[in-house]
Amino acid sequence: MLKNLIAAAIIIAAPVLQAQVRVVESSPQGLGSGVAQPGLPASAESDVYSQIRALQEEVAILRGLLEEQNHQLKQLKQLQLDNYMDLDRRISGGASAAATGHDELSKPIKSSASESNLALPDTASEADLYKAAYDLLNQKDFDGAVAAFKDHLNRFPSGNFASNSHYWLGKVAMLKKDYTQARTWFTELISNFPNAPKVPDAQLDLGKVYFLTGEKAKAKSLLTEVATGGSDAARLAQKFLTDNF
Amino acid sequence: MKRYLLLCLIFVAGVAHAQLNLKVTKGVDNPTKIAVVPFTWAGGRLPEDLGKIVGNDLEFSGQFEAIAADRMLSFPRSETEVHYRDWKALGSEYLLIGSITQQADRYYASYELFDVVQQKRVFAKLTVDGTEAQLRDMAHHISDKVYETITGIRGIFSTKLIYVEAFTRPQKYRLMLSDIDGFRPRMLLETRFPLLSPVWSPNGQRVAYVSFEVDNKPSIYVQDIATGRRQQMTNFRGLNGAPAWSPDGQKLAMALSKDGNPEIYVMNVLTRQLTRITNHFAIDHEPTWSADGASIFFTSDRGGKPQIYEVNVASMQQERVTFDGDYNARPRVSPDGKSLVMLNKRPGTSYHIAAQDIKSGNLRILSETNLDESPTIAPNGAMLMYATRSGGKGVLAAVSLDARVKILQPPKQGDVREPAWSPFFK
Repeated sequence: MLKNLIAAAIIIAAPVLQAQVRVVESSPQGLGSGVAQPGLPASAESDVYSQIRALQEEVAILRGLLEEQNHQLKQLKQLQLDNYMDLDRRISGGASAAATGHDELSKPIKSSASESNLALPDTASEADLYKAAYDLLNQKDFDGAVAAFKDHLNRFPSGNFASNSHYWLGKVAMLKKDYTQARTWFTELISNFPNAPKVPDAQLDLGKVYFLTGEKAKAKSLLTEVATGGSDAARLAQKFLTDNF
Repeated sequence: MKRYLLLCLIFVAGVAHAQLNLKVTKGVDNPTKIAVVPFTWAGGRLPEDLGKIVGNDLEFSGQFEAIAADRMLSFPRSETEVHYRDWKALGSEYLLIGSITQQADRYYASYELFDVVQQKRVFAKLTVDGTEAQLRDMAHHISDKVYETITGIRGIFSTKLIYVEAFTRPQKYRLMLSDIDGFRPRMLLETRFPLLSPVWSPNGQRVAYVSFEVDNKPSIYVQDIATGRRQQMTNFRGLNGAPAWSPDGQKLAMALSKDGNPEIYVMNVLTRQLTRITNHFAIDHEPTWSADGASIFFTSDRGGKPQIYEVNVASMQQERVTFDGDYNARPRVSPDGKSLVMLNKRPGTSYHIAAQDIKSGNLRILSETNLDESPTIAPNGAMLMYATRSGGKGVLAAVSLDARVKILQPPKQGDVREPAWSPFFK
């Protein structure tokens, strides 16, 4: 009972909750000032109390949802990072394998890849083209992937996935140690698609290209710029900086 | 405000209590077979069969299968009498032999363990001694030694169990202490009012619990197990519940509703000074300490459903830790601090015991019984015990933390609930 009164007093005293104040005023006894008094009618009191309870329940449910969504977001971020690291590892692994046995590995796949790429009809959607190219990349068919990404860019130079194709073309060039090509693809991505989600990744890799071609000052300034963001690329850039500078 | 009560009733002799008698319902797929030869004894009838107790202990772990004595081809008394092929023929992987001698009122049990597969002695003859009343302790000691030697994990056969036994008509509640195998039950307290939440102090000398004996209202008590001397720790308005000892034994976390609704508090056991840990209009209950004592896990319905939260005691920063299922409560932390054991319910299922890896958040359901509650973890972290229902009665069940071993206690006269597994004794 005492608790109810205190709760009612707090609510009525709060200026934001005008609705509750009005409810009290319209009661038969007419409280006028809107300040809780010992003679507060039981119905109004319990009304206010039940509203507080309802609000508390509502807040609890919302809090629960927020906690769960935060948790899911955290999981997704982790999953994304894991996937990225996995892909990075697989591509790097493929590159070193290709470097040692270039002829045996790339030739036969190249022919089949080109065929599968050509098999896509002209009416194929941009997403289909990009996905086909990306699948080739995942299968470590780098030459096939390069051809497919270029084909995608030819048909959809400013498509939704154009920035991604630039990125992967740069990435493959980098793995093949063709740093001039890699630099071109990354630079084009950054200047032509400044708002693309792949920009931080491209900056990170461009920084690495600078580093690998001996332009350490340029590398350091670019990587430092990337490292200030909150992206996964920022963390990787930070790591690269600590490891190499 | 310190009140000491001496409980004479603990020492009332001659009261025969029903034993718990736990039975393995599911062991590991391929248990290690061990032959425990009946211990030789020159005298008359011994009150306890040590070899049999050791065999039962090892089987209770779920990881061993003891070979029955009537199948044994010989009863070797020393290494020279051991013929490995006899034991190989029985499929036995290990062989334990022992003998008991008596000097004045002390008994000496010597034992040796052999590896049948490698045909060699595992450890040289060891001896443990004690009085007649300590024969079971000696057997449990041998079990611990054998278990640790073979599995590399410290044995829990010398640990104890505290549980609450409830009777109706007339209504009474007993706080009971027994060996971990359910034998030698001893009554610590009997009242007409409910007893809840017993927990061992980290040094194994005291027990904290909630009793409704004063005005049928809950209060937290701390009782010295050996002497029966006890202190009433709290007598606040409303809820006084769920005491939990800090790992250093100096503090008790508890749930009190003295300031309105249930919140988590920490009490210094010596000074009785209270620190409020949570402040929320939702119900915060069932605190338990992390293994390092830096944080407290507790149940709260602040998110609309009961879930487990962790609060850092120094920074007071709070974080939700369970997300799997629409009900997670009654947390307990494993001794290595890596797993959280709790009561879990997913939509459309009953209440089960589940273990969550604290770091990864992965949750695994451990129990197959229904309406499970009150999990308590063994001090070696290999097994946990909990209360469940069987045949309309409250019974105890146990499960290994990898869920491979399951043990259920057959129903007894009274309802058995709220088990508390002791720490290791020095």
